[in-house]
Amino acid sequence: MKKFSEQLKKKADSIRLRSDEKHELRQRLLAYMEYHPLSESTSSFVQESSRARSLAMRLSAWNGWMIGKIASASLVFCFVIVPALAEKALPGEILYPVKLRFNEEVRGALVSSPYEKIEWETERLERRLAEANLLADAGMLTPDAEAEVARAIKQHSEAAEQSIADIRKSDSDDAALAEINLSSALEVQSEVLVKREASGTSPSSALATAVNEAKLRVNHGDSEIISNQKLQARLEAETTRAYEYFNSLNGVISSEEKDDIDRRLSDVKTKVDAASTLSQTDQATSSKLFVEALGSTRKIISFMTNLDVRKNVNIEDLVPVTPTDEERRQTLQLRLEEAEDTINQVEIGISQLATTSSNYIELSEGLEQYNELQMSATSSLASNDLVAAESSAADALDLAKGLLNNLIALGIEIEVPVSTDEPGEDN
Amino acid sequence: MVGPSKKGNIGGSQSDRASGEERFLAAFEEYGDALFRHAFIRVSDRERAIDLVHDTYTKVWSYLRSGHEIESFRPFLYKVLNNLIVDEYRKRRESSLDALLAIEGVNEGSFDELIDDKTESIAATLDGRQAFELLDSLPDEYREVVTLRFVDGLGPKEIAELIEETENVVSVRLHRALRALRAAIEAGDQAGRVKLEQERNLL
Repeated sequence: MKKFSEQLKKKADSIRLRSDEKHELRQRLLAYMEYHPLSESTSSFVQESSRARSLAMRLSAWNGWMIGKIASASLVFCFVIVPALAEKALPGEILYPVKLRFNEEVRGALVSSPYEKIEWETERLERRLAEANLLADAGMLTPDAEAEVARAIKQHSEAAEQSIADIRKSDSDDAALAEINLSSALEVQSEVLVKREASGTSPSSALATAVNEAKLRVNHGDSEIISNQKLQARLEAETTRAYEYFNSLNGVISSEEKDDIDRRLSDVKTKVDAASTLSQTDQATSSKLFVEALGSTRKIISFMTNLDVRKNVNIEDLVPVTPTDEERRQTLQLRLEEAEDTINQVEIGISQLATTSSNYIELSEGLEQYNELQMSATSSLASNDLVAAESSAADALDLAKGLLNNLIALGIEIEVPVSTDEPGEDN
Repeated sequence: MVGPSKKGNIGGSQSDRASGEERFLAAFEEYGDALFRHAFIRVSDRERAIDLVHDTYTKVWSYLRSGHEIESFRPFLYKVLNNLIVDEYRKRRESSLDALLAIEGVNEGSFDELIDDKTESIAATLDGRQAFELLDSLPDEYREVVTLRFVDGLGPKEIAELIEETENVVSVRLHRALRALRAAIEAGDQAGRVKLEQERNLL
């Protein structure tokens, strides 16, 4: 009997919800609970009702009816209207404590896993900064409110760090993944504050300091200790989320912005593909690429979902484009052409110097060096070693510009070739 | 800012409410997989099984919302899930369950089948792994009791309460289910399945 039931149970135990299915089911239930909230705890409801009943016994039926009405209206007011209004409250407003200590604490209580707790603390941190930014925009950020927000940032980041430490005891992979999420969020917020400061709309340096301190305390996910399987699973979930947000942005942002986001999402995909290919041969590089891809995805999601981020930060500052090999070759060609144009001017300048002068000798040596670098870049490009080619081309261009500056400093007049377009220095 | 007393009031209602929600979510974490396993074995459809588990929890949530309290979630959840699965089968084949119950009603006096030792002795001769593979070919009424007994680990009394039958009916049904499984295993292949099919037709 035991053997039979054990065998049967063992076979049956292999049937279980996959983690993604369980997560999705949980989300469906949470959404259901959110739309159908418990009006009040049974116990307190019972107590309130019995108190109301005993009072009503002594009053007329009409009064009882009125009391019932008033009691229900009060309950609706306390548990539905006030929290709903409080959700939009800002620091210093009367309903703000309700938002912090009721709405957010209730949501926090619904979070069961430490991983979700970190996500929630991170979101709370972002909310506090968004509130401070809104107040700063309206010129209403008082020193008290500012101090309160700075304290909240510290408190939420420490809570998230504590949860990371808790997870680390049982699952170092999840802890590292949570760290990537938290550090990405802090980087995004720090970038927002930097940009606001540059444009003169920063709430205050105290908030930037609070965010930067939190950023320094959080490590980036250590790619070597996260299993590729977990990284891939997390990436799949996050990229799915990202594409869902992306598809919902139609009509919300300009097509140019949408193209920019699309490009970053494609970059993430390219990086993930490269990481998957490398996973068997070069585990360390593969993990590093996965971690980068995950960090970028989180930042792209922040950019898409947070209006404050979108308004203040250029996506290029947040997630720079990762050029494809073809784009890198094109940039290299442009850089080499620019170096070549510069060196042509240098040669014209040198020809004006006396061949015996020390300047002529020094500059001629520089020219030889340039030729070596230029050849090295060209041959690396031909052999598809883009990293070496980029390094040599950058050195060649720097050297050419240095030689030209020396000539200008010597007072030599350089004739600028009319037919050549001046390429941008950012290439 | 909310003062200490006011804060206390808000915190009190919130913690009551939150504790109801926490208990419910804890029940999801604890029994979600087991309920899914049960539903999947019964309906043999992953998506449908997930939906059934979802419906089970939303029904239980609605029950809580209406002011009821649940002391022990496990039997309650199984009860709701089982009712949903039975409803599903009722929709699929209206008459079959009634026919089964009618037949069992007649046979309830068959003491030979009611002796639990007999059931155990059949189980002792069965290979659980093979039996599991063949569960799918059992009529749902058999699969129900076998799953509740051997996968979910419920006792005959609990099963009887859950499916609203007497313990005798549960024992008979278990006995027959195991006998059908043994027939299928012994015959090994086609022959076993034919016999099973014949038993099914008898229902």
